[in-house]
Amino acid sequence: MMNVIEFRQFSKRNGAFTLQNLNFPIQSGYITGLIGPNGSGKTTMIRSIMNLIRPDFGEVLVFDQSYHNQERDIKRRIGFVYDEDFFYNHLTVNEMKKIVSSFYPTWNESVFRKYLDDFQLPSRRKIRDLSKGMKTKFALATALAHEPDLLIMDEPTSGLDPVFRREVLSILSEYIQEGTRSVLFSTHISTDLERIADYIVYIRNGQLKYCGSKEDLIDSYVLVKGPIEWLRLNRLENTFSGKQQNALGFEGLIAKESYSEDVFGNQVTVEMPSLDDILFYTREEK
Amino acid sequence: MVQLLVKDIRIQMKFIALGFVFVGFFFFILGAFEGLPLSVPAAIFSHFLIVVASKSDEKNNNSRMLASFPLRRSDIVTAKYVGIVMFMGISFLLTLLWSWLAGIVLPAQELPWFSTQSTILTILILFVFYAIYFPLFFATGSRLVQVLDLIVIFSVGGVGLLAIRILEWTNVSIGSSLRILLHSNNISDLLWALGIGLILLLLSWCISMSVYKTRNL
Repeated sequence: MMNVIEFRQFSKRNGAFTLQNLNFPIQSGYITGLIGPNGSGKTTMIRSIMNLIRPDFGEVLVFDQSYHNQERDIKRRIGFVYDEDFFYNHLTVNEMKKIVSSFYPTWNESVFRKYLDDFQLPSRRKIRDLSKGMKTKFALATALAHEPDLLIMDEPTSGLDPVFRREVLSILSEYIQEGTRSVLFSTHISTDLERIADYIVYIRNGQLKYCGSKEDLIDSYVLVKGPIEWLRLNRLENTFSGKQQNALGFEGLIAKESYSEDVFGNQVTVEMPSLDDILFYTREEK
Repeated sequence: MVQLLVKDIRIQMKFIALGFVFVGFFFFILGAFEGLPLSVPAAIFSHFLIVVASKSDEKNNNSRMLASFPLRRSDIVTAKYVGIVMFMGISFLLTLLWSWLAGIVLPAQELPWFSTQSTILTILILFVFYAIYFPLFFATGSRLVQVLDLIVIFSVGGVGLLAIRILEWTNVSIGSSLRILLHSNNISDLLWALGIGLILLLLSWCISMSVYKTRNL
């Protein structure tokens, strides 16, 4: 399988925060979700992939190419949507489109027009007068209109209403149907990833915690629920990656290899965890 | 890089029109700065355009957007320096256009004039200003961009005046040397000064390149 992105011994220090020795690939042809708590390094990672941040050590390869000598070629094949405003606000949608399109020889005007219509974006409205959702729609339309091989999005669905979030997800699914295109997006909303992501990159405190298929990640844990009394009697507290308890009972996450029906018995219920559960309960794991 | 220059014109269409009206209104209709050569309004106009283009690129995370386009950072830096010449050209041409339009209704002796000396001197001042401005612009980014031009004007002006005073106290006749340069009818003196300005600009471009290439955006 080809890698669309590869981190090679990548380290970057930024004040007190450090991305430490990242070594992992992101597969081509899939949707990969980048997850992690606030301040875990997701945006720094995305900026590193876009070569906006220079590494202290190592490098990031995109399409198996290095930014040292192929920057323009690499970026021509990337569409980007960031979580913040990045257009010239005093311009209209149409004026901004003219600027963006001039940088991409592969710009497809009919694709752009289609998204403009689908998203009901007024082409004569100034960017500053667009709502956050509309700005994201416009960013997505410009990112997709040059038909990139890799779409990189930093928190694209944050602050969007559920209807548009679903729309974005279906556009992404449609976009990778061809099989050669890839999507990497970071999000806090793990339900979005559960819907469409094939692979997950999980980062915490600047360190890679997991990189692999979403199913394997979810399959590697079980969510155990039961009465407090059971927890007290069985002294299995150290088995949990994380747990929460109240007067009614407890809920905790356990690595699948640590779970055995013989040990846990039938006083507890065992469920498949969600990505949210995994993020929440592993937040203090070493 | 051409796209970056076209982009600078596109984001400034309204400011170019505004500057054109400003030059016409103040210099030709109101007759402000009477007795001054035409290179003065042209210089103010070009400074306005160059600084607005720079400020626009550092406002609202636009620098992140530009660096994400299929460009090298060296293209972004070089385009800013080529932009100095481009906007100076636009401003001088549009000022000349006003002069031509005013010439239709005003007698020739009442019109402000373009002199070679004043034009070279104006270009030299702009070159020196941007040779200092752009390395700071590329180093500090959005942190200072809104006030950077004022900082450069006041600090360079202040340092310049201080240097002149110190030189005068030490009996170096810098004042008279400057007066000779300012009133020089010898074009070659001015061209030499302009050459030094160009070298400064080239050095400034090298510094901007090294600063911007390593900056995290």
